[in-house]
Amino acid sequence: MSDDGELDAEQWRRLSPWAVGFIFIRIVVDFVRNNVPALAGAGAGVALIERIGVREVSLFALVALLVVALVCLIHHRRFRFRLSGDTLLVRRGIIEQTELKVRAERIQHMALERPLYLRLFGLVRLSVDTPGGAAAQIELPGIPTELAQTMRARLHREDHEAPAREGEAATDDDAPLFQATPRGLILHGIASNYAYVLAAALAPFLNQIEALLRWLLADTAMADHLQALGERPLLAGILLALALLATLLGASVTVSWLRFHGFVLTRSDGRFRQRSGLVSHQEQSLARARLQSVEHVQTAVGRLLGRSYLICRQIGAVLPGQENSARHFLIPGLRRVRAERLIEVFWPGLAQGPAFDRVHRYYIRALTARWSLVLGALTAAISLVAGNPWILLALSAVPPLVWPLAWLRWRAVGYRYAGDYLLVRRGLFGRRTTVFPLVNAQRLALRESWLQRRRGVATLIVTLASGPVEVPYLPRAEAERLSNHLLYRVEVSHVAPTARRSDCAWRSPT
Amino acid sequence: MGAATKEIALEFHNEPVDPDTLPAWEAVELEPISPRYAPCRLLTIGGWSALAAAAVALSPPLEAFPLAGDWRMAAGVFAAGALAAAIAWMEARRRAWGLREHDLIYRSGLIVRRTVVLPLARVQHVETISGPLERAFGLVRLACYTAGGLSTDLVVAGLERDTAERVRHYLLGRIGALDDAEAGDDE
Repeated sequence: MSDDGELDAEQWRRLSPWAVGFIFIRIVVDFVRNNVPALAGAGAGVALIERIGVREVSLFALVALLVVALVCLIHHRRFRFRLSGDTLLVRRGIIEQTELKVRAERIQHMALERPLYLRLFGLVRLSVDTPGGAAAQIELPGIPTELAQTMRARLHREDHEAPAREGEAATDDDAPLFQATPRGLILHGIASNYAYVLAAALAPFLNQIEALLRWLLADTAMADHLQALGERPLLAGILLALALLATLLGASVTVSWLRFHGFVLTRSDGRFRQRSGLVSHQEQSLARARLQSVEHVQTAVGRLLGRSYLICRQIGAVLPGQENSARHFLIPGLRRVRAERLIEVFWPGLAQGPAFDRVHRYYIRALTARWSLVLGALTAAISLVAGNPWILLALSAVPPLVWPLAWLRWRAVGYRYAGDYLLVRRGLFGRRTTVFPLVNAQRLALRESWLQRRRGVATLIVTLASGPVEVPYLPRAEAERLSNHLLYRVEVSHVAPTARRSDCAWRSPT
Repeated sequence: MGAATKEIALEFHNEPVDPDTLPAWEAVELEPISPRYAPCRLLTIGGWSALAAAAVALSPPLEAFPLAGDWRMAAGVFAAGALAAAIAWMEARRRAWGLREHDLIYRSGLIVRRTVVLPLARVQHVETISGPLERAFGLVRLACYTAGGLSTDLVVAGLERDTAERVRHYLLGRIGALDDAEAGDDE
């Protein structure tokens, strides 16, 4: 690192002028993505344009774009950032100016992204995440690569000076902990749920796609074949399903490949780092001391293919469905043994012990009753709307259909108590196992419905800083034992600090 | 720093703990919250449902909602509100709380009972809140926040003002003491 870079980082700086364009494009794209499918999907967009007139609508759009461009320009003019020692300062705001200060030791996750369009200008996007939640999240879109690297090195340096954690110093090195293989990435693409995410994103456009296909196929040589297919609806259905599946899988594998190409996981100075990306390069780092829980995800398809992935969770709850976004520390395409070994790297001393303990069998009955009620109400509603009382006969088929699913759910749910850690598993066809140190528990809750009390079972909810973990239908005595032990571990870690393990230091050492 | 690490390693011991000898939170005698909380809840929910019923009764007949202005509909709304208020009354009478040396316990719920145990070491900050009606009854809610929570982690509702103030002081004192112990350890 040159001294120039260090000096530069201390001065107030602006984002690159190109960043105006990037911010502008991103706002427009986000707006289009969020709002246009809803409008177009319902056909309301077309109706609106017809009623108001194309010219007026385009004029309105143009004015809106100009306003957005102006806002971006002002935002860019007002946006300043600099480093002061180990603190990152950011001034921003259009009407009200706010200044954010983030100390290096507060940073739990840092990401450096290099999308193709930024790389052309030698720029990167640096984002910094603190436990303070969404409001304290800082993103510097479009700063020069060298500056970003200097800043990252400065913000990480604090960890060099931090005391070495037990026994970790000896094992810290830059040797990769894990490298994703091409095969692993393809399998990850198939096994992960990118396909469903894509399908959901395309759903609003189904009408348009169908119309387009019809128009394309209307008078070509294909028409005859299609007519022939139309006479065999089963064959047509199978072919269509296969084509859809192949398209989705192809897209899913492509997404996985773009996101995780060349994935390498390393560890140094109490931080885990990952580098990946085909077109858009990105680097992420995660502070070991801020890691709250590790989740091992085996999707249903993933279990068939023998691949799974890990999600490292930090302080701050992650909304479900956002796990695949670039902001989360995900390790893809792992074999079972590999995943288990990696979990041991994250949580040293975690013994691969005996099988998981199951929860009370009464859970099956409770689930069957709960799901049957919902399905039954749905059936009754359909029968009422259709005005056909015979549909009510389907009610008798509901419990036998639901029971096997409830049984599968019960089989998936389990917990294992392993020394300093607790493992909690759930799922239906897939499996999701959360592993966390006992001392990371923030709050315990015991939930008992009237029926549960009568059966002597209770649901234990352990809230971590990364979100809640639930163990349903534990025998009451077991729930109490487990919660008392958790409380003991949490409370003793603060009363006898010398015996405290480093991984409970969720308060930063000062 | 290396020496300190070694020292910690030497002092570190990990005796097996018999789970049956641990202090049990379920054995703690919880103290009911203020008896004034039940009428407070009753008035809150009863008041809202009376307002809703009045709105339905006095509203002119609407095209989209033909039952507006019908006294039977208004009576139905009020009956539902009264039922909710009665349940709220019974629920409020069942709420209880307890404070141990290292944690705060709060139990609530009538049909689904929920017991929350919050270790004091995990509390980041404490706040007392009271609405106008609660103030009239001399009641205060005590809200405790921990790290990473999207919402409040524990709200102890229906404490009398003096009690809440004393508990808040105790909690803040404990948090401060724990922080000091930690800072001392880190030096």
